[in-house]
Amino acid sequence: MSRAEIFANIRRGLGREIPTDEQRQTVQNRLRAKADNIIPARAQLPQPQQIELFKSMTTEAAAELIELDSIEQLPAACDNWLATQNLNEFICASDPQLAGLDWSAVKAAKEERVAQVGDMAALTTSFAGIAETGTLMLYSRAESPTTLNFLPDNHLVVLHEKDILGVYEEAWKSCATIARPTTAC
Amino acid sequence: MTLFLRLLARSATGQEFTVYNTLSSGPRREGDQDGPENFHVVLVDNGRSEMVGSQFQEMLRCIRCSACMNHCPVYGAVGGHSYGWVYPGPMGSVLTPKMIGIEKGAALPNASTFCGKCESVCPVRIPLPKLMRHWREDEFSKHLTPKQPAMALAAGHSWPSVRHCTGSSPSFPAGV
Ligand code: SF4
Repeated sequence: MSRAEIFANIRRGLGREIPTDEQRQTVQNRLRAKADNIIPARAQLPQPQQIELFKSMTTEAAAELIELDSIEQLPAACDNWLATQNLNEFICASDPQLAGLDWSAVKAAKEERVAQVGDMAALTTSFAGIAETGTLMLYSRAESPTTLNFLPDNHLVVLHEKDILGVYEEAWKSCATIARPTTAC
Repeated sequence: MTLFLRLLARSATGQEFTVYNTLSSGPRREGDQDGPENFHVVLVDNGRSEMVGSQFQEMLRCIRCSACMNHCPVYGAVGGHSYGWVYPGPMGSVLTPKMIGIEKGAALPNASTFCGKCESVCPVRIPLPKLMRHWREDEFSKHLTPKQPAMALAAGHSWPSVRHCTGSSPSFPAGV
């Protein structure tokens, strides 16, 4: 069945003709407006409380949180965590935020590439944390391919406190301001 | 979309959110290290577009959360494979006759006590018992109802109990 036949069936079912320019414009305006639906009250909080909610939700979802005072502490924190898991290598996004750090003292071998079968740990950044459910939002780009997000068994994700938002709607809006990613997850 | 993502995991497993959601927006771009070379969207209709405007239109709201199955006493007793097709539980009892025809799938909408739990837990408020009842009416109007229940219906007896006595079973095409 072709796309045209499917659409014709839907139109017939709804008792509609081919849309006029005006009707098309109405739909396009509605899509462009990106109006919010019902937003849960749970995460409509001042930012400090959103951060607390994010922490409790991520912990509930079995994530492990390591809080750092500055991004410069990241290489050592990664190295320590990998050592506790008996892992001596990881793959890393070639994200400028990560590449600019001093990794020279890190014992685990670090490689910047896409993920492959058998990779045990990946390190990437996340552009938004969503307090409502403790969710991380990531998007694919040349320096952070999407396979890093879901192939390796362990995913180490860097999230800045300032990037913790209340609800999904805020995160989508933030995502829309970034150049079109191939995947967002 | 966000509203439905919120509903999905909560209605399915009681989780706050699905463990993983991926939105794909196209093939890999120049410079991307991974991602598909081509991106195709395949629309599988299988009779669904014909449901628009019909008495089964409400079924198209289904987000496949499986809340109706989790709460269905029939599904709990017989399990998913007994439904004999892709969609089990109350939502399957409405969808399957549409896909394979009431002639072959009539046992499914009949295998319900109409307790109404499915409708009460459905996050998108699909009136499942009403839709199953439409199938029963369709079966009856096409004179497909087996003799014994048809006679009982005419005599005003309760349908599920009599249907149970006939021992009729779903008849599905080979290989499904
Ligand atoms: S019919 Fe309702 S409860 Fe059942 S799977 Fe679909 S959306 Fe979920």
